[in-house]
Amino acid sequence: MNMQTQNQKTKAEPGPVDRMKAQGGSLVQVRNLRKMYGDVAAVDNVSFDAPPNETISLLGPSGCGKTTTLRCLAGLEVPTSGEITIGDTIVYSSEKNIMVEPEKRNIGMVFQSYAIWPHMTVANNVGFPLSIAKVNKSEIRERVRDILELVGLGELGARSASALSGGQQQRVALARALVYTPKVVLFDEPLSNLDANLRERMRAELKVLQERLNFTSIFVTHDQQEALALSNKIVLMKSGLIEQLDSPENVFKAPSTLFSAHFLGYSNTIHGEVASVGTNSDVTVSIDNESDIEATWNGQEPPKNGDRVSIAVRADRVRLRPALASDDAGSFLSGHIEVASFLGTHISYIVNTGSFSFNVDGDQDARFSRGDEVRIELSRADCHAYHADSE
Amino acid sequence: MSTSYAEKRTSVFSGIKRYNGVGVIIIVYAILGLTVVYPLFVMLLRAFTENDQGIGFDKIVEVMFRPEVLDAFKITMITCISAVVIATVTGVSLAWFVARTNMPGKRLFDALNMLPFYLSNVVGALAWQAIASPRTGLLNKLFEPLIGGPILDIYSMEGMIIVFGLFYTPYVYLFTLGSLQSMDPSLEDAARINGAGVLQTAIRITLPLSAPAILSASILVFVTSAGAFGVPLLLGGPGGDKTLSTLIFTYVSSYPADFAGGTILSTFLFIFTAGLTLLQIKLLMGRKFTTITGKGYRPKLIDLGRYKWVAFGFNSLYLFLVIGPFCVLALISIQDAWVGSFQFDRITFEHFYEVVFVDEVARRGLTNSLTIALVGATIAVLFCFSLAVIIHRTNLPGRFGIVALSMLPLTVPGIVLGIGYLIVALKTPLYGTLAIMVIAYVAHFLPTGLRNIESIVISMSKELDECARVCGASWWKAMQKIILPLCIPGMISTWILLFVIFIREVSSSIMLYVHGTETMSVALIRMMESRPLGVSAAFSIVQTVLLLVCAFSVRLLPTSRRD
Repeated sequence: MNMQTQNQKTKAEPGPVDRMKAQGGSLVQVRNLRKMYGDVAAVDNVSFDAPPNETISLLGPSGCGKTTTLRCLAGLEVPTSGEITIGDTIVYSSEKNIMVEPEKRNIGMVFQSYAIWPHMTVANNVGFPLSIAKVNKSEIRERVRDILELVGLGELGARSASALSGGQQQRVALARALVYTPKVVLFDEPLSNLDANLRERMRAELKVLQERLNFTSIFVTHDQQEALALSNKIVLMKSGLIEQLDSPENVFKAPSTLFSAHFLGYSNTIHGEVASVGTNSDVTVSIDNESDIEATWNGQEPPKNGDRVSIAVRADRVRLRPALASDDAGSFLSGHIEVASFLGTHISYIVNTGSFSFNVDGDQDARFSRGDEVRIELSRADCHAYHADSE
Repeated sequence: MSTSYAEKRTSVFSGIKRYNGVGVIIIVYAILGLTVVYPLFVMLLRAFTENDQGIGFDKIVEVMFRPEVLDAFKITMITCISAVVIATVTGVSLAWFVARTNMPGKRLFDALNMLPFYLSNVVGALAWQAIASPRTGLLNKLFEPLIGGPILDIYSMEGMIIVFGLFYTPYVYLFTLGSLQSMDPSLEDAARINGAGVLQTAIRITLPLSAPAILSASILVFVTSAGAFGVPLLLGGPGGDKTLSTLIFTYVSSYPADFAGGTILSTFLFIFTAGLTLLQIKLLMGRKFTTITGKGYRPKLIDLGRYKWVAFGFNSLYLFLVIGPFCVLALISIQDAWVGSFQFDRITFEHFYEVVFVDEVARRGLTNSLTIALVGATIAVLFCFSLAVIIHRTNLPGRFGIVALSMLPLTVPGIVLGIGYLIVALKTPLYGTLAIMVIAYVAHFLPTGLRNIESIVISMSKELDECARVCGASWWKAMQKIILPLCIPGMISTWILLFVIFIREVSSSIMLYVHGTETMSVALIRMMESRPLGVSAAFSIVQTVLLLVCAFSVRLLPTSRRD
């Protein structure tokens, strides 16, 4: 148990985190959360746990309810029903008629717009939570200086907050959320307003900070890369419901629904019918009654012969070979190159199979050009089959 | 912070109740009901009840067909429509010159064209009397030897039209300029590339795109001049042309007071202006969002060639017609007696000494107006800020009704609201106090204040105060530490605007004043009846300087800091 983090001024008395860990429990618990706007459920029956010092990502397209969920956690929205526990306090419960105001929840939050107060200096922005809590001035100064140092803004304390770049604003927002060492920090798409290079750097820094300061984070994002890189667990959401809740690796490698697969960058979908069901979730899918593809069944309901199914395949998980290649292993599709675009790290091809288009990321060594006849070799483990109407 | 999660549990609804008590909403509605709705209601009620005998329409028919009413209606219509035409043509041209062309000196013109907006048109009317009163006017004296009579009699419809036109041009100018500056310049560039000339582009692309702004400004000018009181009183003259507003005043202030006539005419005027204002609001709503999508870059300026000096001349003439008479007034104020031309041996400052230190009415007007304006602007700004916060930073039930209710005075001409307040006040100890005037002013200009302050609050991201909440601040603390400081610059400029409006207010004051509570404008009107021109002129100059100081301090304000 790593309690000698900086600024930790409590003595050996076990805090909520210790108790949680001892019980093997979670720091944040969300149970059957529902938020209605009129007749529309923005968040519907959402439940998840966040163990101490882990990062949970709420991932999904815009309008999926991820931000509303986060705002319910912060107390900025009053849910319609459900229960939220932070630490050992129930902060919202429709059953027990509990609603704790945001200022009483002891959480940190980084907003999408950063919400830097333009009429204050950087130091006053960062020290605000402490001064509201009536911490004495010298301690505020000290802790603000420490945290600014930590986020790499050591020099900027006296600067007016309206004169900051986007990246600096982001760091100030982060420092302000962390300055009172909350156990839970909420992030509402904090990296979406930064340019690509800065985003990657901040992502790495965030990870380092989290390891140093030990806090539980709940992270809202629509960027799958961000969610994969930062989190211990991903809550993938769609129209207010949880679509999949799993580790990043599992979500990425075995999306449980066609929607998950698409959202995680499976850019190809092949439609067909189940020809035969094998053991261990193997299926053979017949495409237009012409070719058969061996696939792994990832769908919820077990497949039956004749079911309409969709197979999701990533563009970088197939092999592109000349049409005349002889060794006949596994399933494949034939077609010709329609478009070849050089993208630096790889070459992106669109292959026309006659009845549909297929995206392939090819490596630099074997180059094909427009019109070439090719075959796309598919491995069973990389073909994920679902019922066709499941999206 | 090493405090652990405190066991502070509140119920789901106490969080809302604590800050957003329904009590607050009830108080707000009570205030608005009492100050905005009730006086109007009383006025309308009075119009429809004859001698307290229940609802009757005979009186209404009788009043509406009086010959002087029909005359006043005709005069009002002609005056207002002509004023709208002058203000629109001038305002649109000036805005186009400043925003789109290479007119010389346009930076200076841009600053000066808004000047009449801050000045009092009553003083403007007085200044024009000095220029064009039939016998002693400067202009008429100049032309008398040539044409053997006055070239322009300011005591006429033409006179009213000139003053209204000149002083309401800035309204159209401001609206049009805003629309031109927020317009995507590539729309006009595209027309040029497709072969349209400068004038064709202006008429077929620019003008139609600004049409909603221009039209709603025109309607605003119409409503304002139909409800205006000071100018027709001064220029219509005692026995001369009466507009609806001066006729209302004549009915109510005659002895015995004809409240039936006054309220019936007021109702008629109210229905008329309310209809037009609703039309204007409808027009504004349609283009609300198109003005905000302004591009940051400046459009390429149109080269007018040698016509740029025509534009320069036109703008100079406009400013000359506004500022010139004020200069003449200033000259008159430092002459011991005005003999139609400036005499160096007649220079004196005794009129200024008189109005500031001696004349009782003038001194009362000055102190009363300053008191009302200081107190009124402060109350209005604080009240409007509270309303804006309630509307946009709480989830109280019924908060959007506040907006509709607060905008009601927009449809009510000052003289109409004044009558309502007079009828209400007569039965209370408030009658004849400055307090009733403060309340009437604040109520009448609630829309102006609320719209200004609302736009500041709306422009601030909700995340700014939500973040403060998450950081541990209560709702009150978040408002106090975040929203209020960020609104201060906008509140100051709104305060100055309201101060200016209150300093020169005429229509409600003329209904509500008694001996002892004269405002500056009332004092000025009374002085013109009985004192030499020099004294009125000096008093006007004092008021004008006060207003100019306000106009310049608005320019000096830092642009408000917004997120």
